[in-house]
Amino acid sequence: MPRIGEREVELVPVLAVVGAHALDAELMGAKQPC
Amino acid sequence: MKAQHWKVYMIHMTRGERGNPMKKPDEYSRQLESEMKRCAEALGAECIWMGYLAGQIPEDRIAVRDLCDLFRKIKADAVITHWQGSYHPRHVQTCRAVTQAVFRMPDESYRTGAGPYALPNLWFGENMEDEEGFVPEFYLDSTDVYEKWFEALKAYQLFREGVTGFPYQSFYAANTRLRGVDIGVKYAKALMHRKALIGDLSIRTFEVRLSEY
Repeated sequence: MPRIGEREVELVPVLAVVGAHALDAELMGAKQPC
Repeated sequence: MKAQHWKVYMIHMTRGERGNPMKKPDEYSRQLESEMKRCAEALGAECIWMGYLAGQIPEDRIAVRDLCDLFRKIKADAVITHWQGSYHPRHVQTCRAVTQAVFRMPDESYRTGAGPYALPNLWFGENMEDEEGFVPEFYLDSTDVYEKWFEALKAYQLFREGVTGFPYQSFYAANTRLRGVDIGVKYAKALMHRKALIGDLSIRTFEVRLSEY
């Protein structure tokens, strides 16, 4: 059962983590920005 | 958060397929699809690619609608994205689109495929490319999950091998330790709000949970 602090809760809260890209060294090493 | 029994989605606007100087985008895109999936699985999260190509995140009108629709469908209670103070144009664009999408979620007049959903809390994470103006305001003690998190990141070749010469591992190891020192634990992650929007945000579930963490 999911918990919030010491309390058990029935619903599962949802977190969305949004990134521009997975992993991108596009701008590193003086590469041309696109 | 996964360790606290949240359902977690890791959403990528693009795959970043132009980001490896050693590989062509076609080849690297396939590799990234595998890497992002393995990383998410290692963290107990679900991975979603928005379908945009590297460097081609669409204009805000389209990106906001796509994101808002997705947030409504997955019923997001909290959203974490890039802080706006970034030198990477796509990070800035993502921050802007996500912020607008979040605020559209409860708007009944804003039509997407999914119906309106309650306004989630919006947070900005600390990223080595987004440090301009970032102020750590809230901390998550990540000590218990640090090793798992760091190992999961090694799913990515760029993180694992440092082929670009950029010190991903050094930065995130040091940053996580530093934020831990800030609050007297071994490791922590820092988050912030966009201050100008606090008055508009419903400070509810996520903040309550943070205070009880």
